[in-house]
Amino acid sequence: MSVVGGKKIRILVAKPGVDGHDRGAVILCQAFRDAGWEVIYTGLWQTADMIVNAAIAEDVDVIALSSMGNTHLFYFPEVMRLLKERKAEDMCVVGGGIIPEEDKPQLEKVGVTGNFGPGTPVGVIIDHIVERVERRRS
Amino acid sequence: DCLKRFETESGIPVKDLYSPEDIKDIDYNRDLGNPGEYPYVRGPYKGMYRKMLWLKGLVTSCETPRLTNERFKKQIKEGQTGLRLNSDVNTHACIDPDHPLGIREIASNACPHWALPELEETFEDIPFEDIDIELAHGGVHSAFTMFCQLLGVAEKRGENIARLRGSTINCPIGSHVSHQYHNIPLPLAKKMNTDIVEFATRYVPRWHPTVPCIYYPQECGITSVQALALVLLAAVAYCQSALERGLKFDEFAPRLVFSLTGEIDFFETIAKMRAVRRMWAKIAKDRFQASNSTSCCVRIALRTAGDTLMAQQPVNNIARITIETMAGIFGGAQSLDSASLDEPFGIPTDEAVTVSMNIQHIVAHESGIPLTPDPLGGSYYLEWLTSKLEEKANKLIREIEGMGGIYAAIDSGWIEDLFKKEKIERQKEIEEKRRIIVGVNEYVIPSEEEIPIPRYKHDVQEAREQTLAKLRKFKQDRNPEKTRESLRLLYEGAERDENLIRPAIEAFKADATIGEVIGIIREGQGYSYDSFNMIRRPDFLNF
Repeated sequence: MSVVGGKKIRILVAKPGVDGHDRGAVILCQAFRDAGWEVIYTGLWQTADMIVNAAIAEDVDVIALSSMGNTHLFYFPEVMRLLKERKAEDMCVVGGGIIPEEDKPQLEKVGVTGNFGPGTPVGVIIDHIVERVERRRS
Repeated sequence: DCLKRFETESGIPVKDLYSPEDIKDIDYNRDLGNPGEYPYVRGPYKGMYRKMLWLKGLVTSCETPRLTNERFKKQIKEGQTGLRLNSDVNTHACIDPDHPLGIREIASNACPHWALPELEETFEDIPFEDIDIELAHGGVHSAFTMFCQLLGVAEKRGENIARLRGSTINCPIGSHVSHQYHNIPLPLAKKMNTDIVEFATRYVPRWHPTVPCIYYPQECGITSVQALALVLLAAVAYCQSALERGLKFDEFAPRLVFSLTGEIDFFETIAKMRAVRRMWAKIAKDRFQASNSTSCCVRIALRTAGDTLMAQQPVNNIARITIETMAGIFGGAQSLDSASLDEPFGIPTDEAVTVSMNIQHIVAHESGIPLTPDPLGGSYYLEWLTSKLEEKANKLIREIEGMGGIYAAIDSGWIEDLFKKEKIERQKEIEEKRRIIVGVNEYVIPSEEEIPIPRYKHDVQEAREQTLAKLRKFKQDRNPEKTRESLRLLYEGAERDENLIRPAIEAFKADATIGEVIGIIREGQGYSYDSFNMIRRPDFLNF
């Protein structure tokens, strides 16, 4: 579903930190494009600051954070903190990558949902994001 | 219940029968040869594993040098004969732990090696003369810094570097196209690649410095056909660079190693290894006019494929690692690095490491596979597939050469597009069940029913704090004059475009950090100090 409430979903796919494993992010960018969304990919080596700036400048509905390098416990909450600081906290933030089960409640608590691991069917990820955007827009 | 796929992993259709008809044009002496004879299809040595088993290893790196050292010792006790060292992402990217981008990622997946004392501690009480060391660093700048640091550690110990045995993954092309710490301009990466080859050829004769690596590219999803083409194009490029530097082909070619992936497609992995030996032998003889036969014979270091290991029902990964290890031995690998069953989760547990070591021991001593070289040689399917891979890879090589060569294909974005296409295609195959992955898109069970496996207790917070404290103290305690002078000499060497290995070794011995060494080299070569443009050269380096 590309259109929610009459408007296409706009999503920023972001890779925070130094780690360069981007196979998942690249695949999802294509999957989101195939779903008809407008996709902006930040590329590698982003700070939380750079990600939030890009998200606000691009006026996206969703930020999708990809962490393969065990940095989710810093970057995911940090992005939420900066969004709040810049009064953009209604933006949806979803996560994915190598994220241990035991870390997920912490992430959910600050508002980062999904946190999909390897092997998650793309359809599941898309459905989750659509659901979040629908809730945001209603 | 039936097969869903009738192609190899590279997409080559597999027929319902192979027979003598399929290999009738193969001439044994011309196209295969005995092991140890041109074109080396059946193996680089006569007798192969009867003479000497492959180097058994596992990529190793825990969150601190102390823990890494303990793990090395445990693995040596359990029969590891080739140590494979990894480092954390910051070390790979050649930034110090206090770099603003890297500070959140210290020790997140491996050990930080930001200055000599860390590497000294990693190898404490492990004599270099007893062991073979592979530096498994993806980016060329980290290959460079780790090689220099290792030599620095050896020299500080009073060991003769001419006796150091091992290898460095040294592949600007592989790391660039697979986005493995490619935060280094390609011209500088090429220079460092040749600096390593030149220095090792002259001063570390038992080292293998010319190691093109397509492990990371295959982890991105490219096929074995594409990987074959890429590793040969890379090897040719590095050899050409070494020749331009003034080395003779027969000086460095005998120590060439290809770092390849042991894929889950059993026969395609074996065929790939056999094909690459034949293809390289022909290139060495015809293109480079090799004068001696060892220059035509490439060694293979095999790493089993990380991307085939799944988080769903991880115990299944033991089967996958075993298939890939067996393929590596049927294919005649000189060293084999078997991944651990908990690869999808993080640093391997002690238990997982023991299992992977034992897989290698079981293949060595229980299976009978190593008793004779190339035991599958002559198989109708295998010989056909070996030739078919060669044919397809050659076609792709010609296509890329037609574009102006591998560097041109990279510059134009053609390689990037190819990689992107393959990443997406592999995923589609899985989503559409054109490729079955047990536990992921078929034979799925609820996660509660999975056999639980032990998980590594990764005290990353502690490791981070410890590292930052160590770094602070290191910078306080060192003699800034001594460090500054060594980096000034390194800068001048970089300005004059000299071989930078020796000045870098001296800088590390004078307590420079990896960020400082690479930053100064970058500036000497005309680039910004920091590849991420977040920090400047430290004030005390005022030259």
